[in-house]
Amino acid sequence: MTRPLDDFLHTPARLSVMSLLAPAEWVTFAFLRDTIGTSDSALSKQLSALETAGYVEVRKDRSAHRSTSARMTPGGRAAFDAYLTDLEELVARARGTATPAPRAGAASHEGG
Amino acid sequence: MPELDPQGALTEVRRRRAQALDEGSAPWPRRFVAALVLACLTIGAARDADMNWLVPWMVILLGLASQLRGVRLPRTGRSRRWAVAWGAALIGAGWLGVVVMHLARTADWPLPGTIGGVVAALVVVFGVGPLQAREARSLRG
Repeated sequence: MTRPLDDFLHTPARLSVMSLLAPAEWVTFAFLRDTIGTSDSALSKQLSALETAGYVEVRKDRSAHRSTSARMTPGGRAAFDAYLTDLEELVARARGTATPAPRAGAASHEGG
Repeated sequence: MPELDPQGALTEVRRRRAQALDEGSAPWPRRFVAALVLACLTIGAARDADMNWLVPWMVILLGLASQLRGVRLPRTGRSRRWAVAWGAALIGAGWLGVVVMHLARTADWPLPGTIGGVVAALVVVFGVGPLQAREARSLRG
């Protein structure tokens, strides 16, 4: 039996943010906003929710740029990897293929 | 927002991941290399025009501009070596520019600072830029 998908991550906006943060050390707020194509306030709301959940860390740079950056916390990475494993298992089951042993973060090693 | 089916979600994860990797491992844009070349020439010309105060400002601005990337990827052993290589090439460009400037001044050539700046700019174009591009590529692992 597979676990149910993590509802908190399984929303388009949060999934986009987490997927952009996954391979990176730090990602700027401006890059997240422009790539996802959302507004400052909508992205701030999503980042706050992810930060409250302990999935991301947000840093406000006090240097000349005064830019804001975000990164995944170890807890966020673990949750995201588990979510991806569940997702892959679901897709494999839907295709009727045998499911291999769960491999944390399998999708995070693809597509690069 | 549209509903996410599992296959669509996986596709979205891969697409977004590729976007982050592309941004984080892109070489300096041409306009930044052009700005670096212009900075070398300006620093050289500033010395000829006795505007030495301009030099630290140019260096600070360049340092800030080089940080303007949207995604910072984790460093690897290879990327660190390439970063050291292009850093050394950048220092070498400045050093060579100063040496050439002193030689030109000793030889009584006109605009020795500008001549040094041109030499430094050539090192940036043919040395620093390609090495930085190698570093950027190596970040993809």
